[in-house]
Amino acid sequence: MEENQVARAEDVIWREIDNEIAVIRDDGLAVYVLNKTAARIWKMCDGSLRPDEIAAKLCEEYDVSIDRASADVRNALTGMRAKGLLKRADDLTRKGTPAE
Amino acid sequence: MSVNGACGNHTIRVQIGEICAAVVCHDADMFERLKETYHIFLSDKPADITLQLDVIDQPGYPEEDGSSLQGDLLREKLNVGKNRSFDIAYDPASRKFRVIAARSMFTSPLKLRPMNQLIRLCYYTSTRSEQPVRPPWMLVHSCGILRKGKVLIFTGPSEIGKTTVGRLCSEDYGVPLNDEMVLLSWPRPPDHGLLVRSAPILGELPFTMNTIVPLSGVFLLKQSKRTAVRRLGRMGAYLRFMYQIITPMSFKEPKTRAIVSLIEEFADEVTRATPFFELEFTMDKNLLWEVEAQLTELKAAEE
Repeated sequence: MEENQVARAEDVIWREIDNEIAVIRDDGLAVYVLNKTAARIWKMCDGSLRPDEIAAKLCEEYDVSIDRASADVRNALTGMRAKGLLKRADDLTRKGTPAE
Repeated sequence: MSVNGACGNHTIRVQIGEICAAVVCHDADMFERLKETYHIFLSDKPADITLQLDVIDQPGYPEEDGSSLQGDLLREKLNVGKNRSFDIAYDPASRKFRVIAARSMFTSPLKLRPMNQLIRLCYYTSTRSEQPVRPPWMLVHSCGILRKGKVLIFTGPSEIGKTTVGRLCSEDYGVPLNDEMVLLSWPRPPDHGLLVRSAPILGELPFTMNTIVPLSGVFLLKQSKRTAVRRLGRMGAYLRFMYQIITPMSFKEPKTRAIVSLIEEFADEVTRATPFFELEFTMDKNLLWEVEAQLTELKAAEE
């Protein structure tokens, strides 16, 4: 599990609609839609939480095991990072940098 | 002096939403075509912005003979299609565009349609200089059909059939306001209604009227072998509608985060305030308007 806090990239705009989230690159060239679970994870990517803390919060909110929540968080963050939607680890300070 | 928007023998004033553009053209033939084409949009209001159009005969133009744009004004070539471009300059102090264009740009089959780029540029350059956050109306790539006192908007990517829908409408069914673009208001409190306004943007069908009418609903077109309609969820409508909003950039303005935010916010507010449907349609006029019956059923089911 990653240790750094995770934060949304600064070059994106996002909009929550009916429990899903559309994430738009601020050059307008790409749009991604996050499903309900990914949307919940995305909203917690404010630079204050580490992945394991996000997984723990998911366990509090939903009837799901920590293993399942951790896997979901890992998969979601991997996908978001691959699309450049999250700040890189070296962009974050030790204490985390809120993205908004 | 101004008579029905024509000022002297080389200037007309064209209403574009809430702004008025003075279009100056010293070429007699071109001026008459402009006056005739935009006659229902001519206005006597003071001009907010000026567009001087210089038409030249040769397809290309030399840079050093004084006919091209010189000086330190904002300038660029504005492409309007394959091998077609305007040489365009803008002076922010006088709010004046000067455009040099080859006469061949305005011959068949496009006729005056390259003017659309200039009209759009005038509109957003003027509105965004006065209201940098939100132009009061946004241009939407769509066909607007006036029917029973309200406008239905049919939108979708190019070649999807907006003009076809417009052609299928006769006086018995509805009147096409425009088969290329309309101006759409931001939702208005307290009833969150939206208004559609005719835009002087040329499509394939002639302008029919210059009016402001409440919006009834938005149809995202999908060509099909059947005619059917379904209500779209908000996310689906938002994602698809966003791409039909004309990018509200003023002259030489880069597509910044503020521009993308403006488009995104407009898509969000419009899809929140009005119903969106996906319309699968054939080329059959009668089948197309059977959609109304299906819409009534949909609305009844929702209520």
